[in-house]
Amino acid sequence: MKNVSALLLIILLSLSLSYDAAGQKVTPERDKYVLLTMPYNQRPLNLYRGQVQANAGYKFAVRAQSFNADGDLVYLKNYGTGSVYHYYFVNLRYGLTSFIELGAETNFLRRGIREASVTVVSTTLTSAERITVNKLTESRGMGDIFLYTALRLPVQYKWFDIDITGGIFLPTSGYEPEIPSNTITSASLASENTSTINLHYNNTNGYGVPVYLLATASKISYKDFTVEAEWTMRTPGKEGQNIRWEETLAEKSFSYYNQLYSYLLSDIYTFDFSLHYQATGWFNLSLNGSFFRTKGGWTEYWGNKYRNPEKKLINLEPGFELQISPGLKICQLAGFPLSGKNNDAPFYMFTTLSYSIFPFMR
Amino acid sequence: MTKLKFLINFSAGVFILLFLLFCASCERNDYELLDPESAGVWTHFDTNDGLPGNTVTDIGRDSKDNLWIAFAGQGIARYNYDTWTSYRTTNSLLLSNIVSCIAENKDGSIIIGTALGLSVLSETNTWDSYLDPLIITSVKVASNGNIWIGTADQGFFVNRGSGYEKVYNDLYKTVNVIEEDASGNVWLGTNNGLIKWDGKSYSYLGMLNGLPNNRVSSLLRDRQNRLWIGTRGGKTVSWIDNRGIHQLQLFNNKDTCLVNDIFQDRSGSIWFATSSDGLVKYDGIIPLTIKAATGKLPENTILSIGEDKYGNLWFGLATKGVVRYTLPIE
Repeated sequence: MKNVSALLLIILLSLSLSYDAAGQKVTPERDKYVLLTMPYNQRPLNLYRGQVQANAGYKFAVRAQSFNADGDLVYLKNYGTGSVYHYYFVNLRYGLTSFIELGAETNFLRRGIREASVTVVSTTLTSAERITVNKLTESRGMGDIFLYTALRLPVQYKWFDIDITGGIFLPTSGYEPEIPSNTITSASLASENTSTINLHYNNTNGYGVPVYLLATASKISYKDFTVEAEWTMRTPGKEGQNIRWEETLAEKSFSYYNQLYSYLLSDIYTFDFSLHYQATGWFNLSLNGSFFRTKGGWTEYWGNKYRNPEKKLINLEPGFELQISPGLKICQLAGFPLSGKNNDAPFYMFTTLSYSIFPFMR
Repeated sequence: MTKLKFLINFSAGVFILLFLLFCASCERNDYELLDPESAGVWTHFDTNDGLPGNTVTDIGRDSKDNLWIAFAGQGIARYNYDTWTSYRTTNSLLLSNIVSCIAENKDGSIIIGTALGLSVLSETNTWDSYLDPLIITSVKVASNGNIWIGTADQGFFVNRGSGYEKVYNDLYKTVNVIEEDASGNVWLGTNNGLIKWDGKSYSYLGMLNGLPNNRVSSLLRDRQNRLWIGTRGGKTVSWIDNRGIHQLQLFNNKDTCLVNDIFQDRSGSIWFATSSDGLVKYDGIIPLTIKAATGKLPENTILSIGEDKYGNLWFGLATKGVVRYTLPIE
């Protein structure tokens, strides 16, 4: 009920603001080249009526450090557990009217996380054995399909805009982990028997349950400068179930079995605040501060339900938007983690190509 | 008309948003959630904390989730996660304060093996005694309700509902442990190998059949239907499955190991309680030794392992009480 009250407050606020904002009404020029090349500081939060936009993005992240439960930075490379990950997304948006936008999005994730190797040695009068265990947890696969509707202030944009977005992540991905692909190599030397065991867990992508999204954004421009703020909440629709794979090694062959467990995803809140500078009509610079946190949720381990640890992360993201042609834009930003808790702290580069057309406008 | 159309669209959008949010606020159950910080924690209890004794020979859990602990010299105690209730010869009809094993019968009574026979505590708090004054070493209530009792020097007894029948063979007079496998076979670990009862006849397994040692001290049927065998003096521990008998090196840097008890936790790992090497945890891949030097255990002689209703492991120590271990989360 608290969430519903917050939403109502946002809607009432946006409606009340619409009166004052009506003063910014201008006669729109319905020329597709004008609309396609509209600089960032002069365009609304949503697409124009009839506009179709396709976005394709790639995020490359270097996971070299992490924030622990106390908020201290842990350098993963010191433990040999650093890794990189690749995240791709595609997104299609359509301006149903100049105030209502529909969109669909999905992603593909590829990431591998290594753990520090463990070696056990047993040396006795009659034998010596050494076993080294390497562990790699790989996540790979398509994410869920995200469908959304965005409603913006029902006036023409001049210097102020606000919108509300509601959406759902449909649990379309194969989220259950696949069977591990462990291997073992052995060698018998004169002095000892050695074995290397490579544990390879194959996780997938996706939530496994419907997840709802509610977001609101606002934008204020003054001359070449724009300030934008966006708040987003994701909350799971229901509890989910998944499996964990376990293995047993006997006579150099692995046998696998899995255990079912239930979970409730944490609510995810993000808040972004960005300052933009329109250097020219085709080039926009930005500096974004991004705050991420999770709350609630639980995961079942061995028959008990444990609260999910609360995660936090603050990033600083300098970036730019460059108009390449009337229909094509490129956006790029770099992410630098500043502080956090119980969360990876990767440095990342995020590049998005954005192509827009007005298929129904001559 | 255009404005009206817009208002309809806008209202529909707001309605969809409200509906989505309403859905999101549904289907939440309230559970008792545990703190993730409490996972992976080792906690030591001894007589200073209210534990009746410091030498813990067996740990079991009854069908009402009470934890039962057997002591060598201080009787038994029941823990209901709030208070300890102690039973000794001085406050009950327990035959002896030297208790070696405990098990729950099908009728809910607790069968207690002591150094002077078998005591049975019913659900209505009445006491019965059997096999007085034999030294009882092990108790097993089989899935068919038969009660198997092992003794230190008088073989073993089976109660099929009409009283205890003695089965004695001089070679197998010392029975240390009894377990039932997935097929309903009953296995008895003796000082001279394993005895297997398949429902019709007895058969015998020893070192010639692949056991690491003939002094079988511990048995466990795990959830993968493997029968684990621990011995006193073997170089390895063994398990039997449908492919035969297998060996597991415990990596204790010795040519022998003394295994007092074997237990499988809820995550699937197998734990070995040893006489001088602390605990060995086998996660299916490699055995990891946990000794007193790590600070997790106060001593290296572990006599018994049990589990409470939360899945916490309880390790019974030779002289220093118990250690509770909450399984880690990943």
